[in-house]
Amino acid sequence: MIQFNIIEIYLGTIESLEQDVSGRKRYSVNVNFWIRTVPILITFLFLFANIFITDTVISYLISFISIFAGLFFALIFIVADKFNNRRYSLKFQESNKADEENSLYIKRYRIFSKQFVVQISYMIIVSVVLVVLLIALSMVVAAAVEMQNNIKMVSIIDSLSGLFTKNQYEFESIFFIRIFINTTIYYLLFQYIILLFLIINNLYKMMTEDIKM
Amino acid sequence: MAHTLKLNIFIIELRRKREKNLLEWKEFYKNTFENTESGEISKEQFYSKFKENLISYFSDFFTENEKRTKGISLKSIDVIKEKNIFSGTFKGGLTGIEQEIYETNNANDTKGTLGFDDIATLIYYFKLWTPYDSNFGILMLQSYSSLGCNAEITDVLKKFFNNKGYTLKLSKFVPHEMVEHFKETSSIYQISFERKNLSTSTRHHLSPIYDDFPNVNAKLIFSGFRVSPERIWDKLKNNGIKLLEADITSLEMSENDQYVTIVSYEDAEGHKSNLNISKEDSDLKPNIFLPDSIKEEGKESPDLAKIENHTNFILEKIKREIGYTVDDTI
Repeated sequence: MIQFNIIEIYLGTIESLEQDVSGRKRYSVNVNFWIRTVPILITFLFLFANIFITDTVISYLISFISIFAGLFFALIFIVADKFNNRRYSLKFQESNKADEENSLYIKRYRIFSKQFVVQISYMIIVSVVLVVLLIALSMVVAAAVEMQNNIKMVSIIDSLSGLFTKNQYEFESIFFIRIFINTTIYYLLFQYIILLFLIINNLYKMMTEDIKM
Repeated sequence: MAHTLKLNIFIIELRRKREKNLLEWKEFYKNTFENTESGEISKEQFYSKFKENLISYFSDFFTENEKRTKGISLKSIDVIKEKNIFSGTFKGGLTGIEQEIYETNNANDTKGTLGFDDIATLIYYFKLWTPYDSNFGILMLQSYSSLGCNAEITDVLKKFFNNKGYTLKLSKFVPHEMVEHFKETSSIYQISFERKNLSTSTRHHLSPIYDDFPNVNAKLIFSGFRVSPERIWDKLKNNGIKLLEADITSLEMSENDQYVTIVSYEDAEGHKSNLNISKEDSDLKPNIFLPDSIKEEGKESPDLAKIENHTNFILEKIKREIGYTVDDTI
C-alpha cells in the first residue's frame, strides 16, 4: 500500500510538472530534460570528476534537507488551506460565482493546489530517502575507512603470501556500494534542487495571487 | 438557389494608444468607466455602461463607410454578464445609389425607388466575447455569401475604441477543426510563386518598360490541375523535390527564399482558400458557412435563437482551442 502511494505520488508529480494550470499537457519535453536528463548528466559529471560526498558534506546536506523537509510539511497544509479560503472568499461567492472568469480561476487554483501538493509530497519523500541514503553513506564511509586501516595492517603479510585477502574483497564491495549510494544521492539531490526552484516559483505565484486578491 | 449564411471570426486585441502591451478587458472597463465620482463599480455596471456607450455611439442613424456605399446601425444588443458576452444585431446594407424595386417576375412595373440617401438593409448577427481576466477576445460577425458589412462593422468598432483612447486589432481566425475539415475535403487547384521588387537589371532584362518602376513583381501561376493535398505533400516528402524545381534565374527565383509560394485549395462546393507555405506559422483560413437550418423559417436571415446557440457552441470550441478553459477531469 505504501509502495503504491509512493509510486502514485511520483507519477502524479511527473504528470503535474507536464501540465499547465489549465490541466493541458504542455511541458513533457521540459520535464524529460530538467527532471530526468539534467540530474543524470550532472551525476555522471561528478562521478567522472571523482567527486564523492565526504563526511562533512553529509552533515551539511542532512541539515539542508531537514530544514526544507520541515518547511514542506508546513507548506502542504498552507496550500490546502489557501485553496479553501479562496473558494469561500467573498469574491467568489453568490453573484460572482457564476462569472466565467471566477469559476475558471477557482478551477485553475484547484489544479494548481493539487499539483503543488503532489510536488511537495514528492519532495518530502525524496527528503526522507536522501537523509536515509546520506546516513547509510556516512556508515559506509566509516566502514571503508576502518577497513582501509585493517588492509594496511595486513597488507605486508598478504603481499608476502601473494593472496588477495577476504578483507580486500570486502573493501571492493564497500567501494561499489559507496559509488552506488553516491550516484543515487547525486541524482536525487540534483532533482531535488531543480524541484526546489520550481516550488519556490510556485510559492511566489501563490503569494503574488494572494496580494492581488 | 438560396443565400448562404457566413460567419467571420476575429481574435481581438486591445492596446492603449501608442502602447505595445496588450490590455486586459478588466483594465479597459475600469479605465474607461470608473472615475473618482463613480467610485469602484461592479462588472455588471461596467457592461451596462459599455452597452449604453455603444448604443449612443451608433445613435439613431446609419453610419456610412468612407465611400458612402454601405451603412450600418446597431439594432439590438444584449449582455450575458456571467459569460462576458455581448450579442445582438446590426442592420446594414447598400446606400448611396438609386435603385428601382421590381418584382422578379415583372421587369416592367416598378414598385418604387430607393433614393441616394435610402438604404436597403439586412440583419447581421454579432457576438462579442470579452473575457474579463484576459487580454484577447473574440468577435463573431454573421454575413451573407452575397453581401456583408464586416468591414463597415469592424471599422466602426475600431473607431469606437479609438475614441476611448484604445487601439483595437482584429485578426481573422478559423477554428482548427474547421481548417482540418476544409483540408480533408479540398483539393489543390493552383500553385503560384511570387517574387517581389525585382532588381533594376532584371527589370531591364525583362523589358525596358519596367526600368522606371522599382516595385515591379513577378508572378508565376500553375493551374489546370486538381490534386489532393496529401498526394502533393507525400510526393514532396518522399521524392525530395520542391514545388518549383526549375531554375528561373531570369526572374530572380532561383532560391526558395527569394519568392513566396501560395497554394490554393478548393472544396467540393467551390469554397476557396489560399495557403502561404513560405510563411512558417501560416494556415488556411477558409470561410465559415453556417448551416441552412439556422435560418428563420421561410426566410434567408438567421433565426436569432438558433444562431445564438450555434455561435455559443463554436465559442466554446474556440475557448478550448486557445486554452481558456480548464480540464475539469483533473
